[in-house]
Parts: sequence; structure tokens; C-alpha cells
Amino acid sequence: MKSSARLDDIRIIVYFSGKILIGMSLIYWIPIFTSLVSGEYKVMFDFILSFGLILSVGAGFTLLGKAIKRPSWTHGMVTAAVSWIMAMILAAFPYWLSGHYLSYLDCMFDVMSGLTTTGLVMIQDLDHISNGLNMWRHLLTFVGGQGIVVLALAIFVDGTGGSYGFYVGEGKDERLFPSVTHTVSSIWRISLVYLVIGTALLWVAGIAIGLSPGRAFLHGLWVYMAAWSTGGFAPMSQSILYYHSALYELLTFLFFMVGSFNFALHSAVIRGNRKELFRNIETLSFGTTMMILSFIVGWALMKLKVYPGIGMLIRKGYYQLASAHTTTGFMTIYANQFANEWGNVGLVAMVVAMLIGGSACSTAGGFKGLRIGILFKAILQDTKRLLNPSSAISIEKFHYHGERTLADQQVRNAASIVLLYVVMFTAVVLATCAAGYPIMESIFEVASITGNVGLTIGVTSPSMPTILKYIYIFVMWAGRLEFMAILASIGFAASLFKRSRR
Amino acid sequence: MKSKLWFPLPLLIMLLAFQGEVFAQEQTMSIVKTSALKLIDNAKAYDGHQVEITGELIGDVMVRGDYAWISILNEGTAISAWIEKSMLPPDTSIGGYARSGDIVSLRGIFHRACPEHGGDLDIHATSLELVSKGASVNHPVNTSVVLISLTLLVIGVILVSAWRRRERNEQ
Repeated sequence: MKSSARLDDIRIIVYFSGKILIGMSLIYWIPIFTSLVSGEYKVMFDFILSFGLILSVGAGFTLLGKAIKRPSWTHGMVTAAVSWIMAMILAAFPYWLSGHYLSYLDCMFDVMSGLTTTGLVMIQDLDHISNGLNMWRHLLTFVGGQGIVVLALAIFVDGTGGSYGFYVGEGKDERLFPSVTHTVSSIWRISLVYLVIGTALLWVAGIAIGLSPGRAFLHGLWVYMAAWSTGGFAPMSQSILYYHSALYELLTFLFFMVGSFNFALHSAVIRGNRKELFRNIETLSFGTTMMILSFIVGWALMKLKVYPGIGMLIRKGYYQLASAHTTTGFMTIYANQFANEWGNVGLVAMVVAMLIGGSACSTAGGFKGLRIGILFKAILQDTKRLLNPSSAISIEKFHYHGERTLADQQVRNAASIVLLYVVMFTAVVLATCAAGYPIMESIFEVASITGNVGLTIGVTSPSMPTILKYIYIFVMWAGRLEFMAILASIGFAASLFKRSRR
Repeated sequence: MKSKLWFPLPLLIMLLAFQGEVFAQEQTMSIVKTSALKLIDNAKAYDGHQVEITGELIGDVMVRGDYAWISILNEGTAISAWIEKSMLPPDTSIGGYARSGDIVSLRGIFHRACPEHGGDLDIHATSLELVSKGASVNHPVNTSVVLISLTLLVIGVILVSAWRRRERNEQ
């Protein structure tokens, strides 16, 4: 009886994973169209083949599985985790067919890096890739920022009861509206409106800095998608340095800052509640940590005379710092310059920024400003309790879309997630050191991987040990889904194993 | 005796200083043939020096007034150069997916953090020499990929239809 119940669970998970893959297959038509318009017919067929593959697998899953009952919280969590792995395996196919990768593992690494909005790459000869493939890279990061489950929920609005579990499984827990379907469609609406505005601005800027109108449009679209999703992919290997433009840097800075904000905050501001921007615990937390870290990075770079003027310090130092703190990963310096020029104090500040990351329910990674704010408030409350008489009742409040009273459960949840991040970060730093990389470089790179940032100091490359590639893929996945879906999947797999042994 | 010993000292210092200046000038004036990766890895050592790198023109020529930004791909690493527009060869072939770019030999002054360009790592070109012309690159369509694509497409459509039919029947 129990084993048939487990089989039902598996069928539900397989069914909804299939639906998510079918939802994802629709985005393949964008690179197919791009290749067709660009006259890249070989690439076009690579994408048609990959589309056929994901559609067949997705539809096969929906046929093998069945929505026997309303999906529970666990089903949602496990489905999110499984569909991310399946998406990684299948979306790597166009990369593999392009011939720009040394192994299929490298292809999967880049897909996971894109979907999780990390931005580290294994691709070979990036400066010679087709428009179709560049579109695919940036599209993956744009869709991944919103979430592939969010995409599927937005498409299959009518057939997915109990969808909150899927939504939370993908690392988002903020309801913009009471209904999840209304929330996910709102997330997509916000993203698409910004996409049009952002692309238009970068298009004009691209023409102004000397790109041809066609190239300016494509670069504007791609760079915007990577900026908004705090992804960090760029069409050229030199990242944003390629453009040598203060205007382009300013626009990308604005877009990735905005992209790192909570979707609920966007929704509140759009609905006219601009005060929320200045009162919200997340923006206050982000502003505070950004200010402290700016001071440290500024001091470190000035002490080492890395940049001889304040203008340069702002354009180089603060741009990389903001890129790290928002978990974007755009660079206007070379990776090796971090290791050779920035010094340990500057690098440690960058590591802290990358680990903290942006806002909850945004495209950003890291611990998230909300949790840092909550933990800070908890420490403040505990300090007050120590100083006040034991009979005094200490109530701590914070503003997060309305006034809220700090509850122990919130503190516990925030502390658990931060602790999991720290444990994972420490373990992977040890693994990277064991693979032979220096300690400071290992810390920097692993912070970038854990926070889904994408800045690199040079550790991530096709020549790195294979085991480290697997570990980094896992870390990107776990960091993006914020552990809950992974833990639920491990629990689910363990329960299956336990029953099979009985 | 003491004064006699001290007498040549300032002269010696001046001579050493002068020698140092000559050495520094020679360092600046001599052209170092190098790679983009070596420049980036040893940016402090090469800062302000005349360098020469050879590689493929890639990406875009971004014209800014009388000058332009170009990118050169050297041994897998791209580096940018600020160049007078007039130095660029006519009918420049820029490397990308559909074309291989011109192979050029560029000489110029290397900047670790260019004060003129907001701290960018760049080379200010003093000369550009065309080594070989770029050409169009053919990417033929693979017939087996086309056949597999169409087969998978048909299978996918059949499976989706079967799934939709089952959904309708169950409703």
C-alpha cells in the first residue's frame, strides 16, 4: 500500500517535471528565429534538434507520470529540484552541438551557470560564437533569473493546483498577490516591461559608443538580460570592459541594481508606494553593507595605489563591488587583476559582498539582505534583553511591506539558511584548496559560486579538475534553490531507499 | 683626506641617477614583443612600456571621433587598443562567427589603468601592420543533424498530442 503511494508520488513529480520541460521548450524558438534572421542555418538546425529533444522528453515525462492528486509541498520541492537537473542536461545540447566546448560536462556547467544566474563560463573561443548561441546563453540566464518553474507556472496557469510548493521550491517565497498564478504572471510582466525599456536604452547607448545598429541591438538585449537577471554573462570575453564606455557601465550598473531588488518591492513601487524603497529592511540592509564595503574597498585600493584617481576608483572599484554585491558578475577588469592588484583586504570585502548578495525573491543570489537584516535585528533585540531588566519585554520591529514584529521563527529560518550557506562555502573552499588552488583564490571563487555571482579570479576554467566542476555545479544549484528543494529531494530519495530495503 | 674621498660621491650619485634614467628611457623606448595574457598577468611591470602583440581583430570597431576601439585576440585572450581611425587598414575584416578577422601586428603603449580611459587596461596604438587578411568562414549544415531534428520534432509533436488527448479525456 505504502509502495503504491510512493509510486504515485513519483508519477506526480515526473508529470510536473515534464510540464516544466515542455514550458521551457517554448523558449528554443527565440534562438531558432535569431539564427534564421542571422543566416546561421547550421545553428538553427542545432536548436531545432535540441527543441525536438526537450519536447519529446518533456511530453514523454507527462505521459509516464500522472497528476493523480493535488501536488503537495514536497512534490513541488522535489519537482523543482528534478526539473532544474533535467533542464541542465537537455539545455546543454545546443552548446554541445556548437563545438565550442571540450566536454558535455562543460556544457552542463555553463547551463547551470546561466540558469542560476551565476555567469561563470567554460566556453571556448567566446568571441567567435554565433548570434543564435549568444542568444541562448543570455536567454537561459534571463529565464533562470525569473525561474523555469515560474515560467511553466505562467504558461500552465489552468492546470496546476497546489502550485505554491513549486514556486517556493525554486527559491522564491514572496507572494506579490494572494494567488501564485497571479504572482508569477506579475513577475514576468515586470521583467518584460523592464526588458523593453532596458534594451532600448542600451541600444541607443550602443549606437552612441560606435556599435552598428544591428550589433547595438543584440548587445543591448543580451547585456540587459544578463544585467537584470544579475547573471553576468556577456557577449564578448572581455565582459563590460569590451565597451570602454562610462555610459554603458552606468546603464548596466543601474539595471543590475534594479534587478537585485525584490519583485514585491518592484510591484509596490509600480503601484505608487515609493516610500517602501526607503523603508524596506532589504534596501536598508543592502545600502548599509554596500556603504561599509565601499569604504573598505576604497581604502584598500587607495592604500595599494591601484587606481591613481577617484574617478577611476569609482569606475573600477565600486563597479566590481556593486557587481559582486548584487551577485551579477559583470567585470570591467580582467580576472587576474583581482589576484595581482587588489590585495587581500579588497578581496575579502568582495567575498563578503558576494556572500551577502541581493534581495530575496529577486534574480540575485547569496544569503540575501532580508536575512542579514533579520539577523541584525535579532542581535539588537538580544543585546537589549541583556541590558534591560529581566522583567522588561523587548519587541523588535522591522519594515517589510508593512510593519512587522520580529518573531523567533523568522530568526530561526534566516539563521538556518545562512548557516547552510556558510557550511557549504567552507566545505567547497576546502575542496578547492585540496585541488591545489591557493587559499585566497579559493575563497574568492567559491564565494562567487556560492552566491551565484560569476566574478572570477581565474580558478574556473575548462582545465580545472572534473570533480571540482561537479561540486561547483551542485553548489550553484543548491545556492539558487536555497537548499529547501535539495533537502526535500534528499529526504524523498532517502524515504524511497528506506522502503525498498524493507 | 676625508674631503677628497667625499668629492666624487655626488658625481657618482649623479652618474648612477643618469644611468638609471637612460635605462628607464631604454626600457620605455624598446618594444617588447609579448602576449595579451603576459601583459595582463604582469600589468605593473609592463605599465607605460612600448609593446607589440600580434593577433586577430575581433568583435567591433567602435569609432569615437578620430579614434576607435579595437579588440585583438591573442592566444585566446582578447585585449583592447585605442587607435587612430586612419591607422586601420581599408576593408578591415573583423572576426566573428561568419568571418575570421585580419591578423594584425599592433605596437603601442600599454596601460595597466589608463588615466585617459577611466582606469581601463588598454594599449594606445602607435602603429598597426596587417599580417594577413581575414576571410569568410563556412559553416555547412550537417545533413544528419537535419534528419535527426525532423525525426525528434515529429516524435515530440506526437507525444504532446498524446498527452493533450489524455488530458482532455480525463477532464
